[in-house]
Amino acid sequence: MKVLGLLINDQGEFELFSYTRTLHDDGQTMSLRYLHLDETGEQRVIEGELRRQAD
Amino acid sequence: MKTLDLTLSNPLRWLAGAVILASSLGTLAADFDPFVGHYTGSARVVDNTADNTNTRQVSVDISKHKKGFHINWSTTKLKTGKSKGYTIDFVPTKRNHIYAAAQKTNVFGGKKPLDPLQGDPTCGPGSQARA
Repeated sequence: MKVLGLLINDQGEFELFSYTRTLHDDGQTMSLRYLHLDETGEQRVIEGELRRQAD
Repeated sequence: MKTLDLTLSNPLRWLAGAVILASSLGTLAADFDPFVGHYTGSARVVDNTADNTNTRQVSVDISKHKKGFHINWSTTKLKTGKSKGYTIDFVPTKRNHIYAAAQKTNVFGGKKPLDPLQGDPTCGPGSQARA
């Protein structure tokens, strides 16, 4: 699953981001990768791993 | 480095969001079904240091609602203890496997995505209210 987004203000400053979520281990684990970029070219990456919890 | 804030009070308004589901399921089940559930874990900023102070606890809830789904997630920075939470509804678009963030309410109270190509304002609901 990939979530794409764009934030922009009245001055034209913007931020682009994407979240990529991928299931592993028969759906018991979800990896997360977040990429963020703004109009200055500065970028940031966050990665993580989450475990499915019982309902 | 500023952090991304998806709340509508942020000067940067939520303009557009789309979810692309790349899974290829050959069943009638919605393609987001495998993701439905509650997850917890941790994430960290990827950089060239071995610094672990950028680690944060992450909690994600993905649930169905009507034809689309709902994502609720929160993060807590371990270093500062600061937490942030976000909730977004995604609704189907005309294209297969693509869902859009629901940002406006129709006459029946249902949420719909903004569509700038159809004359919707190009900024978020806050700007729409000013218009």
